[in-house]
Amino acid sequence: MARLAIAAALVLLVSAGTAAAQIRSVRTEGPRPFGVLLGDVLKLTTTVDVDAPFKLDGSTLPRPGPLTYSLELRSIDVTEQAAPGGGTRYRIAAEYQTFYSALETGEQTIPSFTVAVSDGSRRAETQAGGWSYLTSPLRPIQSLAGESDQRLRPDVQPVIPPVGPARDRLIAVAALAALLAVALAWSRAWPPFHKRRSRPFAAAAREVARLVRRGEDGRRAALLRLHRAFDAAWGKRLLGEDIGAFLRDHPAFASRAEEIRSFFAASRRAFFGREQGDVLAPDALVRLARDLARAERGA
Amino acid sequence: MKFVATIRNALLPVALIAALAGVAWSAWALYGRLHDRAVVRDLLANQDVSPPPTAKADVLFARGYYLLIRDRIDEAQGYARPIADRGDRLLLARFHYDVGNARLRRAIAQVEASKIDAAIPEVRLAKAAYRSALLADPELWDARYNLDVAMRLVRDFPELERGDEEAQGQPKKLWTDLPGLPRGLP
Repeated sequence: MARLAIAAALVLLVSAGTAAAQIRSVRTEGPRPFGVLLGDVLKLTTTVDVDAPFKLDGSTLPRPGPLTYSLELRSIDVTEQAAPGGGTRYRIAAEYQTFYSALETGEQTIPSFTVAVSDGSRRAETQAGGWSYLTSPLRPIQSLAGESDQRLRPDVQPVIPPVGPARDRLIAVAALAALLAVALAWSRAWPPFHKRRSRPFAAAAREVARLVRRGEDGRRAALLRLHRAFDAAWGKRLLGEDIGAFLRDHPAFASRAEEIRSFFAASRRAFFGREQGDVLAPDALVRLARDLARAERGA
Repeated sequence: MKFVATIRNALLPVALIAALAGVAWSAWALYGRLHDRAVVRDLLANQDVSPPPTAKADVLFARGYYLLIRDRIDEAQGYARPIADRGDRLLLARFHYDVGNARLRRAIAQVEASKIDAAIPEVRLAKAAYRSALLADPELWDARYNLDVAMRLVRDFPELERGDEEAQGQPKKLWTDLPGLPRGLP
């Protein structure tokens, strides 16, 4: 944890007069101030407490980019919160990166910047955010015995793109699609689930659609087939008088009550009626069978 | 009620269609990835394949690297921006690092051939490349090391910033600590 120990520098405001009254305190915290190597990122947090009507003037803060030859400001960020005891506390988080190539251990500094506050008419300024630290060299000045001074670290080679993740994703989505296809076939009693006991109308609808195209005999067979589906759904033979009871037991079909009644009426006329005429049209029969199949899925 | 029933009826088919669209999309992505793989394999096997401008960052990196190790650095540098646009910060850092290495290798060869004037700008560009690499990924320690090598090969004297009297006194002698290159006995 010693590496993470935070060293704090308290900048006492000795500047007399108005500035001290409006900027209450300025404090800069940073990482350990020694053992800094080329390429290290230094995160400094400057906390500024300001009296009530005053606001921080962001335009005096440095902009991200190279600050000096060997120092880069990566980012700077200001957050605002209430200070204890009234006023505003500004936290200026600055992220620097050093590119100083040290030949021997030595001191380097991060320049301070101007913190300016104003309330519209009055203005106060102070310097803050400075930091000094000890940098260490990465390599000795004398090259190691028998090694060339300019031996470089090797290149980063391209890697062959992995296909594993893309392949796994395809397998997962394909499995999901297969599962959904099976669920859909089961729900609609499509093969291989066409023998499902709880889906008599689904099977009937398919056969009816085929039978009605085969002339008069086919139409009669289709009517019978739909009757068998009603029987299967009811559990016993369903006659015209039982429709009310059937609809009570199977409320899913209630929305088709009118069509069911007219189907039974038309069927009685077709099989027992003397008078010709109002026979259920083939299209209407197929539509009814499909509607019933849909209704039974909703049950 | 009828509305709810309609939704219930439509739910499974819609989900299935969405899943099938997902299958098609994933299959296309996998096909693209396999193609990328073939391109990178070819490039590593010394066959120059030019990837399309829409290629993924790792394919562009492979092609850039192919150019770099053949000393076609300026051509390779054109890939820096497309790689940056793909948003892979770590890969971008590695590309800048490889560019820096290529430039520094060239500079060292020029120093060894006593072409100092040609080497100076090359080292400057190498330093800039390493700096970009470290800005993108500070944890790329090899870039730190090679930047240090480049810094010592040609030490700059930023007179304005350091106010170095010695450097101001002799502004032309930037080569005082260019290391000699003893290469055995003549």
